[in-house]
Amino acid sequence: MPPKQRPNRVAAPNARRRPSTPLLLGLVVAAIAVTAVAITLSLTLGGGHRAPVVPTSESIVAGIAQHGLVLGNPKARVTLTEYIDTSCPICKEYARTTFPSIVKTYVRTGKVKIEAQPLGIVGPSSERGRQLLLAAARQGRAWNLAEVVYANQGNETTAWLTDAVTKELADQVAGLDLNTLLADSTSAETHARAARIDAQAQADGVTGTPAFVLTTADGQRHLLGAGNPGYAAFADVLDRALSA
Amino acid sequence: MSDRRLRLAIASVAVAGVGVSAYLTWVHYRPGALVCTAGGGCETVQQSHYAVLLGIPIAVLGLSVWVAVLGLAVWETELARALVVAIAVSALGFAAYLVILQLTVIHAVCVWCMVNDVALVPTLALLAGYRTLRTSD
Repeated sequence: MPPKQRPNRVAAPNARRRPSTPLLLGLVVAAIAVTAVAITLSLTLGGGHRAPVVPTSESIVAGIAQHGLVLGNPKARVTLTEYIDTSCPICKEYARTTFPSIVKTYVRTGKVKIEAQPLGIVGPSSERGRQLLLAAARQGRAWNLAEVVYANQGNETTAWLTDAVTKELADQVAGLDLNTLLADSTSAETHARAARIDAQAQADGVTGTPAFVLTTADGQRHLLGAGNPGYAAFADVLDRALSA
Repeated sequence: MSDRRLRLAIASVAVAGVGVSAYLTWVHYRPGALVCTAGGGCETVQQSHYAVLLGIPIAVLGLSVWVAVLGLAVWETELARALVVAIAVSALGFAAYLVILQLTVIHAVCVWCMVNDVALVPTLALLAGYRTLRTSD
């Protein structure tokens, strides 16, 4: 019996064929060009400090009472504490996307007050940003300054919050006295306040920014987590705390 | 190694790439979920300005590239084969850039990004290049 012969395989069209050299070369050159453009854009947009820009939108916190670092009705039963860093891009994202809705629904209505607790952990300008917010709080302008600082936030890996930038940013906050701000920012009281915030952050279990702690009507503090989970997540937690 | 096995290997690398980049996409929006090695700089890298390009997280770009590679590995044509090589060349260049950024500019290393940039992307480039060179006319 003759050995069984394997049937000849018929190659499918285009299968197992080396791509034509012009096609391959063309695509590879295009790929290199795309990569070069992407790297250039990344370096151009990602690094360095951008020139300060005045926020075009109306202040989110306009007309809301500020007591130190607390925004809103001081008698509100529920407190949302924000651990933030002025150099933290996700804090900026939270401030831009989620914070306005929380303010509109819960703070302006007097249901919830929000307390800022600035940390200095992300980059070389973080501690300076914290000092400035703490100093601005003494003039009742911490939230206004935070808004302007986020709108002009520099690269967190650099010392972008220079004295010149600080002056430009402070000039954009109505009613904020620059000389007082600078003097207060390095005062012993500010350093002591910063140390108390660090201790509280440690007690709350905070390891990064932004992080959020909810203080319910019974005075219990609950760590909600970190990042920018979006307005719906906050609304759910705040509604439950208010109805308890 | 047969062409079928090479395609399978490319598809496997792409599946791993989809997994890593999908995880990095998820933690971009949920940083609290980021699992990093002790002392690692995952959070620093993820929160860096360099983690976003033209408003699009790099992780999302990576995810779309890996999904494309997976699709091209399934779609067996001359054009698909050439496109995988082109994508591999582009990814290799950008991965090298990201590694240099982490080591010299951000001064922090994201271990998940490194898995992608140092292991998966070079493997894809090797497989795609080998597959193209060995196939006969």
